[in-house]
Amino acid sequence: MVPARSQFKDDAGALTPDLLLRVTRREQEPLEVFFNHFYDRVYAHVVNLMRDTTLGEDLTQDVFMRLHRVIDRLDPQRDPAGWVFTVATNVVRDYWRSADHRRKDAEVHVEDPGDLPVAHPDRDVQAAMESDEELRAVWAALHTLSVEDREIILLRDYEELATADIGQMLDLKTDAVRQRHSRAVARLGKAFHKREQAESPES
Amino acid sequence: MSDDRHNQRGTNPGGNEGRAIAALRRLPRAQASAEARARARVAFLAPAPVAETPVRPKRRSGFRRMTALLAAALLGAVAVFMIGRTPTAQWVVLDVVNPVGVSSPAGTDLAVGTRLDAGILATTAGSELELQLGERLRFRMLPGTRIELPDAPGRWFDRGRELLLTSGEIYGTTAGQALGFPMRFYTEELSATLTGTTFAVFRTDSTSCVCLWEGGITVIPLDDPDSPILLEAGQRVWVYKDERTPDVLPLNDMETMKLQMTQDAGLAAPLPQQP
Repeated sequence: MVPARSQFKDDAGALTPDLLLRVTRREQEPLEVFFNHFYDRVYAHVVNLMRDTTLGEDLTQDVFMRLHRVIDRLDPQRDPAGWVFTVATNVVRDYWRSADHRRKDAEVHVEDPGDLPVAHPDRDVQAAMESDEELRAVWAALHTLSVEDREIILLRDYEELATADIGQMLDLKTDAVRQRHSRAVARLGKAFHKREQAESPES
Repeated sequence: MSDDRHNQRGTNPGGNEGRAIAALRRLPRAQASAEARARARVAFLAPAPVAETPVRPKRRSGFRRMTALLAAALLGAVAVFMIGRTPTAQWVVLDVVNPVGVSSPAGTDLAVGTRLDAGILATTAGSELELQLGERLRFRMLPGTRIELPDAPGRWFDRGRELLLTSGEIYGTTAGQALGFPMRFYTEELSATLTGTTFAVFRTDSTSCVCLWEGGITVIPLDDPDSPILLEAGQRVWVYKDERTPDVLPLNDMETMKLQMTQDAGLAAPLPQQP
């Protein structure tokens, strides 16, 4: 059974300032709570961006290795989600800059001709998408967008991170984040509509 | 931040945009495999031990250093001309000590920069060989080591790579980076899947050993594949041919020193692609 996105928001109160303070001291039990709180979110985010589960597993491990190295810099008084996703964003961007990605990117573009369906790399999610036209359309539409558009939509609308946190992550002012997000959503809407039309029986 | 989230939900763009965002929010989350989750957990909860006085790798002699620099500069120049061409991940020789004592596939002369796809490699006493795969994985074969490199899989079908160690010792690292593909080491007794690690694998006539300095490795005894061993940083596991229960032990001083040197050496600079 694939967990719904909302399932991961139910325990948002688990990370109290006191627990986060103990996380910064690298105490094992709080670290475990922290890991369990964020692992699935980070993994799903990376997979949504990269469309590759093997890469998602590797990069997510890389994210948590980096988090451990800098965990003492975590501010216990703030929601750590923005900070965690900043590290995840940096890991993904490092990968995009690498030669490995340039090579695989060329392959991915070959896989995306025209209006053909875009498969989700996770079998269970793909199965859920089979019976839901809107999910198929939005997933395909998302992957017609540029990496920058996809990234900002996923951070803001899927992970529901604060605009200010996203601004810090992407090194943008808050207004610039809003503007970029607004344009990205407009492009997603158009692509979504196009995909829906392509899938409708009349077309 | 919560205010911002409320504002964000309140934005509620209409029409296609609103329906697209609503659909996106219903998209289920992908779930990692239990093995990947366990590896990441180990990497997060039990990272690499920090040596109080790091052992620096032995410096190259002036002549060898200059040769290496010239070779790197030459390789870099070639790389500029190769931009845009589809690269192929091959094993590349980074260092050879006493090449006469190294046997290679089809008797290939091994030198720095030689590329290998598959075959058997062996070092005799006094010889060592260092290889790197793409920009991701580097390892060194110590004297008396024999390995087999299977053919690389077709890129469109499976990006996983494998290596069979039949005897000797290898030390390797990914310099803390994610590999981006599954890498499996096999011996007669075990298989080890690694990612983002500094590690060593030994094999004698009747035992195999995997040592882990950082990251995570899942070791599977081939005679008991249902009992994988998740190795934590600073540990080694001995797996026996005679079906004794594998022993998980802390790294000893010699292994610690060699693994620290391996980690310090890191990865080589980006290498040019095969013309």
